[in-house]
Amino acid sequence: LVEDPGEYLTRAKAEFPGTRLDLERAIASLPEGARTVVILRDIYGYKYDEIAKMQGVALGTVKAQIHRARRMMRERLDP
Amino acid sequence: MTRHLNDGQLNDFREGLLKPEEREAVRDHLEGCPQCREELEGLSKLADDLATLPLEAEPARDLWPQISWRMEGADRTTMARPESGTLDQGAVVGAQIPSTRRGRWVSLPAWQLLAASIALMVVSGATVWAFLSGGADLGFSTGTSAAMPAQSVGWEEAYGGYDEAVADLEDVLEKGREILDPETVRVLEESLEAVDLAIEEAGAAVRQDPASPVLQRFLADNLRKKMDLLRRAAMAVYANT
Repeated sequence: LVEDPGEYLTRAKAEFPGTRLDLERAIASLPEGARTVVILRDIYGYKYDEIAKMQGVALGTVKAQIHRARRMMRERLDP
Repeated sequence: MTRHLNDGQLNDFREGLLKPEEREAVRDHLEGCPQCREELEGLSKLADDLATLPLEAEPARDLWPQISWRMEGADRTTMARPESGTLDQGAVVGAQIPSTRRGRWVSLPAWQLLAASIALMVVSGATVWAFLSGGADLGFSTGTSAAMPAQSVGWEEAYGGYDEAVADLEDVLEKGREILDPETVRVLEESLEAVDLAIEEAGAAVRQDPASPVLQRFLADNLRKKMDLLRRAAMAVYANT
């Protein structure tokens, strides 16, 4: 159990490089659809056409979503 | 090409998705445009950073429909659309992704992840029943291995104890059935039936394609899901004892 969230965060930051926490926050901040596709592509490594099949949308839509998601994450990570 | 490159051009260039002539044009532009080079570097850094995130950190959901097309033929064009926001275990298919994806799958196989969790599960199941029965001798049985691929490397090491732990927890549930709320029992049984079906399908799929990390992970996720269900059921019995 976490008794002190502040202490927990401090420990977490010490345990993991800042980048990881920042990345996870950036991913979490994405709109749901964008979050799904960027994780499928950039973390799990699905191809664009596979993601399009999974999501039942056009390839162009997936690419646009991923490009937008990456842009949003970069803006959040490096404002 | 005098305007700055757009997101699509930069992403496609980085991922090697442009046609040769488009690639040349983008390359020419980059040579003379520090701003676009900086954008490209930013994209590459983001990709590298994302590749460092552990796969297990992502939510695992029951998304069998998302990957079932893999076994049903690549020509299948319509699939059940997943619930929004749900994610599935990944595939080692990103041949054009200059990331460490393949290496990460190799270094974090589902078998090992499951094995790590099983160590706790076995203890949990045995502990609950031992507590309930006042330290009675534990009777283990087998059965789940039928769903496993015969040629899976490291199976014994990774799954050793799973069947026993499942049998242990099922025994707890069976013995505690009458003290649980009937509605709880009904929901549990329906959930177990669903996950058993998923395990059966996943096992069959892995036997067809034993080298697929996607399928291995799917199987492992469902085995883990069954164990989680049984653990919750056993704890419910414990709470009502």
